[in-house]
Amino acid sequence: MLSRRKFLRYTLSGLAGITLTKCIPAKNSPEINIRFKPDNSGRAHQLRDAKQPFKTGETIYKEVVIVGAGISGLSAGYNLKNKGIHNFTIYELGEKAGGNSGSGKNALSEYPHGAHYLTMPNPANKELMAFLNELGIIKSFDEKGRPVFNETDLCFDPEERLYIRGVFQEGLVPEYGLSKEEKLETKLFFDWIKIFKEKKGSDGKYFFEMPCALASTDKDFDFLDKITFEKYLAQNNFTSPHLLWYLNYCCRDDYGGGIARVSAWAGINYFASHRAEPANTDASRILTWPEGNGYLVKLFENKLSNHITTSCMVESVSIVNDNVELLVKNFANNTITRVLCKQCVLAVPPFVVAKILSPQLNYPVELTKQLEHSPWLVATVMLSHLDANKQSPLCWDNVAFQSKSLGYINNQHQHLKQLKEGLCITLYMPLDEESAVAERKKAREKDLNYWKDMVLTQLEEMHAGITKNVIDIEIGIWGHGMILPKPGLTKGDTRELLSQPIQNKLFFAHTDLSAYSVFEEAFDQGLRASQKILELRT
Amino acid sequence: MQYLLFFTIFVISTCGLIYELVAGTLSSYLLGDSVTQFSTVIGVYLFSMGIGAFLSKYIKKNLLATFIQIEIITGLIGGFSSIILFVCFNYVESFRFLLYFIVLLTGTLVGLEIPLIMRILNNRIEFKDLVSKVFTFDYIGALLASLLFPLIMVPFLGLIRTSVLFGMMNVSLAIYLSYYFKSEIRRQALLVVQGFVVLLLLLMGFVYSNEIMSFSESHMFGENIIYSTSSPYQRIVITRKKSDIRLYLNNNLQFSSQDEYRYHEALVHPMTAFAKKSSSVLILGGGDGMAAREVLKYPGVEKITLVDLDKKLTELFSANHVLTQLNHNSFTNPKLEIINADAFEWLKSTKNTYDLVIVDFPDPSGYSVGKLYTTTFYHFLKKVMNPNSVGVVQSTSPLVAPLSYWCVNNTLKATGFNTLPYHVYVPSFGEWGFFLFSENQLSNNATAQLPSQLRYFTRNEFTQMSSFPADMVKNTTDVQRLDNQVLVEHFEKEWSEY
Repeated sequence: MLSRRKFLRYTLSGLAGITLTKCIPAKNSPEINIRFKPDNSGRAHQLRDAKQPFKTGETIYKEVVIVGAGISGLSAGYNLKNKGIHNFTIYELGEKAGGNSGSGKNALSEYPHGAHYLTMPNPANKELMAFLNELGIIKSFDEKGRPVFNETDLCFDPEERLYIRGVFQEGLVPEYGLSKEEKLETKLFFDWIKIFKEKKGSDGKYFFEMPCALASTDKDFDFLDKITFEKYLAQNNFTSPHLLWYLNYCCRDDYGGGIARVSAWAGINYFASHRAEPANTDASRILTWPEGNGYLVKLFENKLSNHITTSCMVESVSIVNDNVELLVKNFANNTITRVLCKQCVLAVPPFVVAKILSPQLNYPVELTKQLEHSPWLVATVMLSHLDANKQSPLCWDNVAFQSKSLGYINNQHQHLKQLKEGLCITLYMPLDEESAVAERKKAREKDLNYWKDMVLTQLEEMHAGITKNVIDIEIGIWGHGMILPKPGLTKGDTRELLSQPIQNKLFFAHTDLSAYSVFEEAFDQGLRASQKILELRT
Repeated sequence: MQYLLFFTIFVISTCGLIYELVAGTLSSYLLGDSVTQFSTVIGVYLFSMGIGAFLSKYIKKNLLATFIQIEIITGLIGGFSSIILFVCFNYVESFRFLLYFIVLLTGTLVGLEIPLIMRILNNRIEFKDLVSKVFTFDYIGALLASLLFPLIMVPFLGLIRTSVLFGMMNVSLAIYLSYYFKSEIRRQALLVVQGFVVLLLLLMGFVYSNEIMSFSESHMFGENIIYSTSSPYQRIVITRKKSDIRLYLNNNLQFSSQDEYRYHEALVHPMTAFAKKSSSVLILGGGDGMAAREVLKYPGVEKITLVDLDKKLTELFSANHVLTQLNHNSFTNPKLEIINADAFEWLKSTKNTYDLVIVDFPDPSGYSVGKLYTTTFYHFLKKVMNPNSVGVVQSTSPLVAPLSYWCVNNTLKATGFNTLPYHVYVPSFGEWGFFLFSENQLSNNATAQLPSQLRYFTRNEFTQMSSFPADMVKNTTDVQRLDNQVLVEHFEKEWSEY
């Protein structure tokens, strides 16, 4: 039995305990659940490092094989199927199709792993319009031929906000607290862009077009590809720090590198290549979904489900006796299959092509070294809540001025249902402080704590005290996030040489070959490569 | 020793009166009508003290130990009385029974105390001194309590903490007495243990009382909050001021029981007057059950489906007796099915169609709820309606927010509905607007019979309701879509300027 003294002591310390725990403000930072997004880097590095010894198993025959189920590969398959070719397979290294457009799902929402929106298609991009029409994203065309978009696919209002000088302003172009002169310069910039936007070559095509394959082949503006955007802006007397920040932001967002790294062509192309004319929304509206472009991947998958084989590494590609021969290592059942086909679309980046293509085929391997890819951090964060800001409601895209990151997307923005407790956001950040190679090396060495601090620092910039609301973080690192359109890449001959089909059997499709990592270019790449195969049939 | 016991009298009388005042205040707070509540509580309390005094004669031995035991129990029950009453208000069928039961219990216990202490002191001092001193301290304690309670305790501690604090004083005294008289009482250790356990419980109640319930909002509303809770979607607050009961969701008034009949009659009955058929009814929102109450006045209605997001709200209006009196128990009517789901998601999944559709959502005061006023939403709504079906949508005030009001009209029309605007004056809301909508032309169905027991609505009145003076008309072409949310912007602007 307890002695009375002991009993008293326990009781009193118990009482004191209750009172104390109540009085001392709890730090209230329960463990944040954090992990890396499962990725393919292990498998991919088998490609980079030595080849595994293998023994050839069964041999199968296909009419066409597509390597890579990113958007380029999926588009190629989509086109083949639409045009009546059925005996084809798409091999994908990952467990799911989609590449940069992959997506995940947590308790709160689906969310993108990378690409998360599509801009309004240009009138010239008939193929993409037809595709979106088939999927129901374009419901119909009005009497003027303008696309009528399905409302739930359009980004809901409010779309964007910028955190600047301690407040959120509407839209991302800095306005709050700018001097008259700076505001004027911003306006001048957009007027200046109009000149580029409206210019057509002697072939009747625009110089700046999306996809770039539809642009004029005239060389009037090729000089823009010789210098960086930063230098060209300086030459044209654009000096407003706010405007330059915004342009830098846009380039980092679309190219993974700022104005000092991308060509003036790429910088201007970002603004001058859009001229959509939608019937039921404004031209600058984007198309987006909770899972980002993963939504489009799902629609591809619905159509191509029988043709996609995932968890397969294509180890080598060669031409043997008039056939393309591929050795395919299937991680799902640990078998190696020899696949023979008439034609093959290599919908993988050129640096991967260089690793798997037989050396006898004289692929310009040296050229692939000119391609630089920015690594990216994409972090999906689950929050218990975000303290409501009466002045500025949560938008789809939320950006902080002069931040290292590009801000975050609210993944629940496109949900139709009323918001409940809990918020799922995805933070984007190109790792572009140093060279891509150095950044990749750094990224490989860092542990979860490093990334956690990085993500929390970025979020705290915009929302002081947000850390205590964070429940879960998934860190995705893209080693080769997107192609960087350095000066010389868009208008030089590198893209052309790397795109050359080999013996009319091997065709190449990848956004690296457009020097622009966006859905429109990937779709066009896949369509063009498959179209060449279809032309051989007739 | 004597003085300790006189001090004891002083404390127990203070505590006793505090419990009584807490019960009286709490019941008038929760049930309204303070005169009735206070007099019945005081009456029951005094009566039960009499019962206690009567029962005291049956206690024959161990007077001190029994007295201390009673002190501890009084502290426990009296101290927790406010928490018990508050928490149970929403869950028990008959709140009054619980209230008077607790008052009876504390009264009886307090009633036992004075006679016992007089008997304890009886052989220690002379009788005339005893009576004089006991009652002196008793009345001083009462005076102190009656001053402390309104001036210090309620303003600074609130009702809950006041009762808990005095419970703690009760128990602390019991513990002290059991130490002081340890040589005179048996099983002293047991009493001490009990005392500390109860003290600990009360202390926890004191520390966590804010988590149990919050009074902070009462300053905001200027009305008594009789219930408040947070659901995953919203803050639900119910207030009472005299006989007026009000529901607030996220601080926005949803109804006042004084005049809600005007709103709900105007919401439901014009629609039925225009409907060819009224056997199946869909209610979107309307988690207070008032619209359902009006619908149930039609014997021809066979089925009502009510879709409300918030389970907490519909459960509250299904169970709480004060609230079910307001909605005439509509939520327990077998014709009605409650579905707790998001209206958008539910519409997407359902295959049923309805003759009548009532859309009674909160105002479009934010982008999230604004989605429920878009063309996309109305397109979904169209799928659960036949061409003959008639719907009604509450559409904010055409007087305060004419742009918002007429924007709803444009949105319905853009979706392919014919519309008929009308408005009604609801004192607690002001001038309020609605639209009837249907795919077919809306035409008055003269054969439709209105219920006899309506307080406001008549067919003649509708002529008045559907005429719009110039200050309630504004030309706009804006259509509320997901990608522009113009309605939310208009609404915010118009109401902030009001």
